Amino acid sequence: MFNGDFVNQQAGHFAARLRREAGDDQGKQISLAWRLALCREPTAAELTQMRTFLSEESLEQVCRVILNLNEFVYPE
Amino acid sequence: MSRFIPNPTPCGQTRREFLWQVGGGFAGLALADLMASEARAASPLAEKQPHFVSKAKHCVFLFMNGGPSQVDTFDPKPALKKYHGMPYTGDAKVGSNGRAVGHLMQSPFEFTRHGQSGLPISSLFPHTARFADDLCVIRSMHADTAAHASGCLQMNTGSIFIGKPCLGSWLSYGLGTENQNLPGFVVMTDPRGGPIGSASNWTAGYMPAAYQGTLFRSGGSPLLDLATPEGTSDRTQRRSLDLLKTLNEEHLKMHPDETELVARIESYELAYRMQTEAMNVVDVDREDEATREMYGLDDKRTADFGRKCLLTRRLIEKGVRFIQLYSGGGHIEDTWDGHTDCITNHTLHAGETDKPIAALIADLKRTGLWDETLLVWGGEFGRTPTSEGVGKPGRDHDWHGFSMWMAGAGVKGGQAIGATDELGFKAVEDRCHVSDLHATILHLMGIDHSRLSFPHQGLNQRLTGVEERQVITKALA
Repeated sequence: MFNGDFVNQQAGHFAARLRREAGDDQGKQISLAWRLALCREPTAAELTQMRTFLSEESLEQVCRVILNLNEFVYPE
Repeated sequence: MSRFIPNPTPCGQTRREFLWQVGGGFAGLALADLMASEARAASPLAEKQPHFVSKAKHCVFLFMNGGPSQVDTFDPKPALKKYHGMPYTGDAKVGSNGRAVGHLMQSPFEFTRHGQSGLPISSLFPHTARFADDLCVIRSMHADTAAHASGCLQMNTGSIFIGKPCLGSWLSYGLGTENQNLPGFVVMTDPRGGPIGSASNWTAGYMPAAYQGTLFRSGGSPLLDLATPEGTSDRTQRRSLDLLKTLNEEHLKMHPDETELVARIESYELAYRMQTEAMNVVDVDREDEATREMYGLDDKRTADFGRKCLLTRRLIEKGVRFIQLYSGGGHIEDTWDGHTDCITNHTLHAGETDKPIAALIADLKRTGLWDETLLVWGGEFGRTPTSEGVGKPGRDHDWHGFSMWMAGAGVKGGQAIGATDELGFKAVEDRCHVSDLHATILHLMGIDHSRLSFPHQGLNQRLTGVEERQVITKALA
């Protein structure tokens, strides 16, 4: 799930879609990612967390983490 | 603030208070126990005390998948020479699944006495034969089934039916494991395929999944996707895992009762810890030339099983409890299942495994791990002393009598226990059922098979089942 080719490839596609549809605005990218993957808006705390993460890591890494979230893997 | 107590009691509490406190107290006790078992469940593989002191701490099961022929390996039958080519007239059921029954067939492999003990071993195993004085051959094994799938299940789980925990699971359950950075129960299959029934042969059955076997591949990365993807730095990997953990823990607060979510969070961390430990263990390329030669890594024929055996030694060094290696996989001639030509078949499979097994024994002796490691060799059943059909040198399944061997910690080597009949069909002396073998393996690992149980469906289930089973005391040093 975390290291496999497939998930990492999908994380790449996911990030490309976020850039395509939300542009370069980090807030919009995160918000869209949350809506597409988790069907909800990110909380304020999550937004801050993701912005901090994105200051050093790529959008692909964010997508890789999202695809591994328990919240994503186990739909309610 | 003073309180009005309408009916003072000797304990100074109201009836309601008393009941509430007592009730709360009992509930508290139950809760404490629940939490304690949760804590146990959190690390089901923590090391546990055996029932009694034993020498063996690790067990290696060399599974000769398909069923090696006893009369061609460890059970010499001079009578077969005498009756070669004659029809069998005894009362043992010969042949499985309605396969054609042929004539009595002598072994083309010469038996020679080896070591000080003079244990007879066929020419199929010139390397293993060097350790004849360490081997305890059981010539009187018998199983309950003529089919591979149920036979493998019985050898692995004690039952011919699917869904029971395996020997490795029972050992993990009973003893835990020494190294929390590696699985306690490792399985390595043959590159040609798994045993029939595949994962049911290393399942934890009705036990928690933590006790199931972990499948290692013998070439390249032992576990799929354990390595960090190329281009991802260690720093990024750790930071992404931290983010994942934080977000998952936030999510968990809303679902505090879901232990599966906790297990999944922990699995990422175990995998991360294993990245270091497991990757080091499987890096067999760093072994010196002499070791590579000893295990036969540079010879195409022995390379795969040799690599498995070398990996086994390294896993034992790291404290892994139970390791199972499969020789043969897939179907018929790709396993020891020599229906068509048992001679070519056994020459191939023995040739692939003999040198690596001897190397493993020698290497364990060199490192001192021999004194704490138990080796078990054998398949799910044996093969008929008759040919399968006339005019071809194949042998059919024989589950009434077959040979296995044990060696290492706690085992009295240099002997053959039990006997089959004159022709080698059926175990007749000191008969040893598969479950008796299990009882003996557990005993050698410090466990009383009658006391190790797991509650399931209203029964305290045991590896050895509900029937009376015996430890083979003659095998004990």
